[in-house]
Amino acid sequence: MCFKNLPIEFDEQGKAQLREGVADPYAVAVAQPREYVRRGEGPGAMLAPPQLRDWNIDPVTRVAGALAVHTVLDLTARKAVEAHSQAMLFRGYEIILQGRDPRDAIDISSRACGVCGGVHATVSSLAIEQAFGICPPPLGVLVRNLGEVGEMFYDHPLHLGLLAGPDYSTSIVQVTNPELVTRAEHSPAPHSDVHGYRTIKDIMDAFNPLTGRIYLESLEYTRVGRIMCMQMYGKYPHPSTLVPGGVSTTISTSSFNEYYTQLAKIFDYCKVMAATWDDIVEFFYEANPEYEQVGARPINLAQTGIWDDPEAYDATYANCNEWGERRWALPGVIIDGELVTTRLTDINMGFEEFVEHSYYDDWTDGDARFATDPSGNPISPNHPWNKTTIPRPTGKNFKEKYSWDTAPRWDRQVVESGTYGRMWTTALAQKTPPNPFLESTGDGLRIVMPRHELPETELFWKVPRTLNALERNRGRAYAMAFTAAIGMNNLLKAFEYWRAGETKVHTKFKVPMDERVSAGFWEAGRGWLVHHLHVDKGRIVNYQITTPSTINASPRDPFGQPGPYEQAIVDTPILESVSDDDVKGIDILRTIRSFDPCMPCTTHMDTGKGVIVREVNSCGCTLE
Amino acid sequence: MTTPVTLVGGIGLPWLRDLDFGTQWIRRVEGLKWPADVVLEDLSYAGHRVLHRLQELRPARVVLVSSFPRDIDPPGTVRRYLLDLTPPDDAEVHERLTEAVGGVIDLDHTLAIVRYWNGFPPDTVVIEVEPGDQAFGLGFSDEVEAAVDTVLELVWREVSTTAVGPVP
Repeated sequence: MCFKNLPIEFDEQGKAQLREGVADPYAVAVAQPREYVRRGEGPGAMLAPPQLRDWNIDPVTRVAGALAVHTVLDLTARKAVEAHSQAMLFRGYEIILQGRDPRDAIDISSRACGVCGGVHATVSSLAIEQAFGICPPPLGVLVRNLGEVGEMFYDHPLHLGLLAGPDYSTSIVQVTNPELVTRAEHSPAPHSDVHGYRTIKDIMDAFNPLTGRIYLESLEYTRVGRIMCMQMYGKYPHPSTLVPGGVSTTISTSSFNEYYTQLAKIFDYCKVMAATWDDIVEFFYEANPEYEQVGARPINLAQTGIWDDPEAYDATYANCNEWGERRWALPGVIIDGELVTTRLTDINMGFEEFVEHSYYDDWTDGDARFATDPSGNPISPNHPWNKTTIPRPTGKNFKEKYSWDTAPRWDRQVVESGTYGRMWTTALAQKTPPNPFLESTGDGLRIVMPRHELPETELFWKVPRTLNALERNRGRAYAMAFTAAIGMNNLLKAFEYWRAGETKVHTKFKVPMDERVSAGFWEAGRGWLVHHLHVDKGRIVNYQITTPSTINASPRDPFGQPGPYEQAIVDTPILESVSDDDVKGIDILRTIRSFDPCMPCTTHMDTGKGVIVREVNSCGCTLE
Repeated sequence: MTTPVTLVGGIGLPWLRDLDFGTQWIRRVEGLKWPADVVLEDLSYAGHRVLHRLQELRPARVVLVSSFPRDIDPPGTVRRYLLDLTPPDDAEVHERLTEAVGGVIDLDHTLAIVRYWNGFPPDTVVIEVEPGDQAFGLGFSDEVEAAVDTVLELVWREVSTTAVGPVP
């Protein structure tokens, strides 16, 4: 029984149903917004602490796309007391896709993101092949898996070296906490034998933008990741070879050999990144244990999983729990640190999107299109299959509406999604099959990185006790090795099929003319990625995209619960050792950037006149 | 030892009418008969990836074709300039690189990032068209459509010593 808010229960056969006697099972009781006030009192007002300062970041730099964050800092208590996260663009891919041939969705939704184009194309292919009732041959599944591994080796170095890493660089820490730089100079780096940096200060120097070694190496490794993608997809960005039923790439022995050459280059970088971030994280904790509270929020995570087992995946919704639980990175929901489900149907049926504080009209007047999913499990009127995107940018203030992002919730609880999240579900579930590179231990992941220039190395990512900014980044660093291990397993499997002569990578299909609904469940580098599809008469009736940043950047929901960024910012301590007037808000920025926001996917473009400005031609993973 | 090549690269934004000029222009002309040392490529991807491509190819000359709204000329105006290779300052490059890795693709980001890391040869020419219609959709506005042949003539002049243009 994984639901505690939605009235969903399971019978003895495990079939979900709405609890009897509940008149309006998906009723939404809207909470009065609670905010601090400077003078007097208003509805829902809380007592304002004495020394408040508005601290607004618009746009937040070093994130993909347009994100603004408005916070209130209490400079007496030295902490953030309020936060509003704003997705600043409307894009509207869902509207663009209405009425089109479903096959167009692969190419068009790929443009939802400038970082994860291949990921969107993949999940779109998954949704379409489920609707069409086809399944790729095993090698087609493996080629897709290997391409996804390559995608991650763009995302992860980017985050670690270019986006979040500079927050821990000498050039920034010198301004906000000069005493830490002095301390770092005299702190030997425990893993210097692995990464080669003698002191913590050397690591912080290496994080310096444009000149630091980690910054420059990370930029170079993104190239390796893209080459790996090209070996499997033929081109990047926006590969046109991802199709329903597999891939249309011409694959040869050399495709796999060259892929392996690139993957092997990454083994040492995985070891170095894990060691480097271990040293940085532990240094900050030791310097000031309050860093554990920077960006901390409840351990509530939702993941949809990636990397299918070709022997389990049949592309059907009916069997999605079986093939989902065979994925290398497991789908799952974690509430208060406990894994409550790994079943994709539970994850899907508990999912709702709300627009109480978003620039959209509520679409739930009248009957919902679907009361259940294709397997008969109940779904909400607020489920993406029932959603209609109705942009309405009115009531622009924090009490009414303030974001182009929606508020996705699972079982009406605030969940976040991330790279670390899929490692978390995989670690807790202990369902990883025996293999030479990856073991799920229940409290972490044991990862073996093969020898390259550095010797074979066993890494252990321990499930953190706190979900905070530093642990998100540390998790991302270990995700390098996690991903490489999965890449090795898939590559070895691909060689087996290749040797056995099972070289087909694609299944033929016809576009069905009857009504179908389906869902592509997959993950981007940053986590959760689902495309919900409804087709009829060979055309798209409804297409809905939910991304990790849709979830993470969300505004408050109707129940008054802040979104994950907002939750993580509130109560984050201001640990800068400078005067109030010189506070830069670095700990707030570390909090936000630890999620790796991707705003182009959050808001999906359309304007009435079709005029699009420069900023939206990019990765925009949070918007509609 | 490989022969040095001249790279003619287009930079465009798919489905945004005139803003997609660079990509669509390359598609239209790539089937013509070009000199053997000329390589035509769509460079409509992030600036740092273009840098990586130039580091691989090491061309002797580069001709970039794109449309870019400068709002200084009427739509359809063609501008040609020899690129000043002075690198931009660190702050600008850091900002543009951060946007580029997140997916922003445009001519100015590419010029800034590639110049900073000395990715262009000294002989780098930019031929850009002032766009008119930047709406979602396919095809060019009439003004920009009329510039297609002008750009072809200019590029041909850059890459060939013969007076006769490329033939189908």
